[in-house]
Amino acid sequence: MGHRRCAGGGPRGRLPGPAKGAVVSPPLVLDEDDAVELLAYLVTAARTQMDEAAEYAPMRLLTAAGRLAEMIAPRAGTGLRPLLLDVRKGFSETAVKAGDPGGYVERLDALCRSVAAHLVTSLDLDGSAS
Amino acid sequence: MNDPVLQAIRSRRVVRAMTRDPVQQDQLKTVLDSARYAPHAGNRRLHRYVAVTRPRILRALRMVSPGMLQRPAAAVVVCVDWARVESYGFHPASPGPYIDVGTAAATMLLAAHGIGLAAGPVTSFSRTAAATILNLPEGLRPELIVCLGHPAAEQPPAVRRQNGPAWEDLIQWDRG
Repeated sequence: MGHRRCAGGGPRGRLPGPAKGAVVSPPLVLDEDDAVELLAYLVTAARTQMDEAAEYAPMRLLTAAGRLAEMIAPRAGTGLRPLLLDVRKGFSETAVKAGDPGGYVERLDALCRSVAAHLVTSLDLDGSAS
Repeated sequence: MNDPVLQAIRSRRVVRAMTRDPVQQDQLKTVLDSARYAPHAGNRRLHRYVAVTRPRILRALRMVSPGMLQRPAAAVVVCVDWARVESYGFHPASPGPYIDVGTAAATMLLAAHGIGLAAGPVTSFSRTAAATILNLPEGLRPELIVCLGHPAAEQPPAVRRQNGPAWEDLIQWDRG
């Protein structure tokens, strides 16, 4: 299937690499087909949620997160991959909350903590730069 | 109606779109200082306030706050010090600490409005993620974020409820 890639270039592409000292954009990890797939899922999930049980809402959102993690994993940097694994694992563990809502909340909180820990590192929040 | 306090109360709005203009340090301190004057049960000082000005931290906070539509230039995170709450013998389910989060936030929102800043409260955010991002000590739980900045020219439409009760219907005088 031919994917239409989002604009970009680099040393291996047909476009020349960045000039010395130029600001380099972060790598693109999501192509247009996958982005549209996710967009369609989110929009339609918003609609279906109006007719479904409230407990489905977190499940749908985690499904979207899991799919996004799956889509970007092949091109993601090594620093991001542990979080993506966590998200995909978290989705499968938190698929249903019936019967153990407290445990469900705990697992979601743990996942939120993982996300935040990744942000602290990726955004260098402990560094001296703003 | 000429009373400036009533005018401020009636003209304050939640601002959900902000410009990139920074909030000055003295403005932020003025807003923070106003929380001292909010009513707090027994004046027990059960809350902590985290002032956030670093753009990366603000960006990270917004990432874990689905309810944060605005991109604030600064923020004040109102936290409950649960260790201190427990030391006073409060039950963990006691509503008092939460009520005082509200009075502090409302006071800061008015103060911001009073000095010409835009402001908006956010409660839809991951408490655990925000605590991690802010590196909060054990026992402090963030409960509300007051976003601060300057209003953008265009604002998203306010939330309107159709067919809801009239304001007068929400009020009971004396005994029902």
